[in-house]
Amino acid sequence: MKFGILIKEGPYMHQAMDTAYNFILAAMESGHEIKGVFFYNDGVYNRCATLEPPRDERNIMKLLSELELKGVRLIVCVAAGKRRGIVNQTVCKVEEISGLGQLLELCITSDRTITF
Amino acid sequence: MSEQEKTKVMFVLRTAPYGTIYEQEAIEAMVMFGAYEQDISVTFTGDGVFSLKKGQDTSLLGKKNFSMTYPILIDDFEISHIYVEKESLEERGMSESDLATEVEIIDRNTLKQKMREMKALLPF
Amino acid sequence: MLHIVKKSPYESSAFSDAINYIEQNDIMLLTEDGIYAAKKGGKFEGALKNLMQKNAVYCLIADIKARGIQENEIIENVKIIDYKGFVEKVTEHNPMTWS
Repeated sequence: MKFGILIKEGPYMHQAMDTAYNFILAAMESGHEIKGVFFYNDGVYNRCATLEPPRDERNIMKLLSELELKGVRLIVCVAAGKRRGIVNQTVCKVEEISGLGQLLELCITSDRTITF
Repeated sequence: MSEQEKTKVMFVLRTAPYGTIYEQEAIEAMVMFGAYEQDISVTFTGDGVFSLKKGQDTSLLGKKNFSMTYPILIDDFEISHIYVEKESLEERGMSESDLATEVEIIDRNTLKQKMREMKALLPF
Repeated sequence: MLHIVKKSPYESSAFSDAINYIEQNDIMLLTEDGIYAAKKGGKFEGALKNLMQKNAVYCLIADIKARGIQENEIIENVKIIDYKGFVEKVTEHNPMTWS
């Protein structure tokens, strides 16, 4: 099955990104396809390049980048990002920044859209 | 595009305005989605119904008054339906005369059925 | 539908709102702070048991373990699943997240 993922909360403050991360790993292990992860609202902070938690703590930004290396498409909303200072200079990867049309595209192309 | 080919997406607004950014950014998403010729609807339930309260004046807050946006969503941005749940309005001491704009007031059971027709539900 | 509840019922209307919208054949998944609705002896035990007369309720093992809640402290008939089980439920039902 194809899943679209919407992340609405930022890292650390809420558990949303952690739950979504574990869900994505389990979905991939079960042979499902992640069509994309769309970061909206404070969710855009998950892709802030300068996140630097203490060394013995999970680095959410890096965990997501590892998912990206496994072929998961990460999409940071340009408007929500600009409002919060997540722009070309501060996002992990400039190519990840895109518009809200991509969220609708995920709704259209995924069998299930799930919000965290 | 025929109606059958369109993807049905519903925004479900459950948060009150101004206290968080959810309503504001949900509106921004609605406006964008409207441009793609899909079947987009919006539902206000729970505290979301407060977003439709008439008489909002945000001048002392220094924020935009988002309740003024809803009348143009259907006309200019091709949103198919704006629903507000009757039970949530009543629980909060509100009725049709309290609303800032003309929307479809529907009961919870009807709304439940509409939710089940959606391909994707986007809660805010 | 799959109703995902991720806020504590003591803090938020997510749990009661989800109950209002649940229909026959729907299921509920308690995650994150939502799992407190499944704890025995709490204020919401009656509501959950009433719900389970018609609908299956699941909770995520990672979230109950992290919060120090043992499986025997979970209301009977609530099914405990892992993330793979979560994924499976999403394949079976269209999800709505209540937070």
